[in-house]
Amino acid sequence: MAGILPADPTPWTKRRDAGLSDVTMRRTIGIVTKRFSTGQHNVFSGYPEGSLARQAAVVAKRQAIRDMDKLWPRFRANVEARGGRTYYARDAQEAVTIVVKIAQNHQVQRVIKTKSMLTEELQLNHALETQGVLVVETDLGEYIIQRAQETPSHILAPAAHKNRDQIETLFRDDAGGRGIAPPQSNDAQSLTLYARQCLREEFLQADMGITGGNFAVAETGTVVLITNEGNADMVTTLPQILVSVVGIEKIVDTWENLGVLIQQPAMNGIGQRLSSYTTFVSGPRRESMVEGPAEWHVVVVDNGRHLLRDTVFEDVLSCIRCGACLNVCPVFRQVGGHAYGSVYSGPIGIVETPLLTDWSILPELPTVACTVCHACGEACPMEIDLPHHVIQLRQEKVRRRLVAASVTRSYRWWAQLWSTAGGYRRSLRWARWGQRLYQRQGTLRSAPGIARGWFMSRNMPPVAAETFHEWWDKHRMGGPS
Amino acid sequence: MSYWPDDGNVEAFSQRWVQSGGMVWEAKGLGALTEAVGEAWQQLVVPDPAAVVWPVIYWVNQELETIDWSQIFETRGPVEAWQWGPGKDLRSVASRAVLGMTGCAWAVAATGSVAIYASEDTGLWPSILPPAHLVLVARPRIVGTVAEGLSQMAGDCLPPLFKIVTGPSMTADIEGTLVIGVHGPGRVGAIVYEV
Repeated sequence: MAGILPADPTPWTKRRDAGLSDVTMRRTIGIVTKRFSTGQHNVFSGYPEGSLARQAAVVAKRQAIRDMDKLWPRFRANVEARGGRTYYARDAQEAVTIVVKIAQNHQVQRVIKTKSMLTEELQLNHALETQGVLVVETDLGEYIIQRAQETPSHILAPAAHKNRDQIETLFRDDAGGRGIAPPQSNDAQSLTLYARQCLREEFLQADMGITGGNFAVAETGTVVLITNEGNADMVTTLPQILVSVVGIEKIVDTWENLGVLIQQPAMNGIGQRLSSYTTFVSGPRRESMVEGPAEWHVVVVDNGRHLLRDTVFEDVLSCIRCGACLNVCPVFRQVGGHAYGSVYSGPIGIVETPLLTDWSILPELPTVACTVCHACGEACPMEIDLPHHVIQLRQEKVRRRLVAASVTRSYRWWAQLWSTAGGYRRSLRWARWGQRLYQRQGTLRSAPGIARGWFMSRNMPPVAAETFHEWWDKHRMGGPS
Repeated sequence: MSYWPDDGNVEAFSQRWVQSGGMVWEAKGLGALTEAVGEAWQQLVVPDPAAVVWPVIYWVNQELETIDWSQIFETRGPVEAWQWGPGKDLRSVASRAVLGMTGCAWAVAATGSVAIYASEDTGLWPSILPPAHLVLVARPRIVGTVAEGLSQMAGDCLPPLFKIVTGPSMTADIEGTLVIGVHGPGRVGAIVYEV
């Protein structure tokens, strides 16, 4: 069953140009991605145990994906044995219906949430707000973009496209609406303090908390959350009702395997051996306790994950959402996350979006948003073969006739021509003859047909009057010296 | 100079904890421990001088329960010390407190982390709601790796809620600038002790 993901209907060229012309976003995203990728590189230096754990983590995750259908019933049984309630949602619509119903059954009015890409995928906030429930994002980056009514531009740094001045303006408007003191200045400290004060009230008043889940453990019925801010600790300990929305691919088999996986998101995402807070939920509170939820609901979501099982793309489900592939991607670093039009951006996004939705949204992504430079393949700690998958998806697009017939014909003809030395040389002679129409001041500035796109943002030197091969042919048999 | 120069776990834990943005003291014996708590207070606590009382919320590991912690804190000013215990809902105290002091179940040398369980006697709020958190780490409870710590919790030992803390609450969500103290404490300290 295909998943349902939101998609920006704006054409790729417009999304791309909007990203390229956003000077603020490009500067900020450059700082953030460089900081993360340098951190990932440094954290493994002098820490061989971290590298060994990463290798073991790859094996554990791959096995967990293969065993997905066995792990879910085991996870379910253990959550319920510890007093939690479980639900299985085949797609986004079912997941949203389950969570809205839980909120309605408890007359919930205020929800606090931790950052979760899955709930972005489900558009859960919108569904709850439609029912009159106030939803407050508590991760600082998510809180900022919620005020701006935008979507995340980076898996780990959702507001990476915004600068301090823009955030100050948002918070000043927010303070005006609430009738409270605005942030004292536009420095990061003052802006964070403003958010802390606003969110502290929300934490203490909320009826329900919603979390995602970095990992879920079948053996113990545990959901694991990783944050640096501590918001997950608030969301899991303060409200009476807690709902954890977890992708089925997040379930790992044993507590022991969690031990090898647990450091990987922080090491590869932000360059720390462990995030400031790693939070484990294994049930509602006991009667004699005061902290933690009275009720814990765990919604496990498929939304297209099973489409990848038993295919060459199965390793994509091993993604731990560290963002390492985004940080090194030259396309992402230029156009930013919003240009992709999907919840999932960067290399993992261009592979995952068409696969989860069976190509129903954004089929252009594998073709237009990758230079096949292989940087993502080297950066991915889970050894997901992203560059190869991009090529496979391009082939799949042709098989599914998602590429215009004229384009497919042109490429096929080009491939045939260049597959022999004679064909290649013939094409150069044609190009030398044809380029006279497109040359200005000694430079090629345009071309006909499918080659036109190449020249939209760059020029090219013309084919030489005599190529090296032609010169060699003339001289090698004792011709003129 | 460390009390335990041959204990690699103490050295590694302290080094990693400080690298993550925390402060560390060592204490051998009860007298040294209470003295270290006094030093930690001076470094970690920034009370509002105009406030009538400075609430402190705390719980300690079993071997330290005989110490009169209220008396120790009260020498620091108009402190109102609240001890975590069964059935007490100290949410509002924790959110007003100038300091939360806790023990820990285990600590990790390789990452500079401490693990705290939620139970009737040991709470999580003192470690997250106040602006400063002081954790008392019994030296024998420091293990080498996170996996070793987690292995102590298999089976029925698993509490409904627990967490591993590795430094202060922080964010870099605004232009990649590191800011300490978002939702949780911005000042964290650890005292490695043996009594």
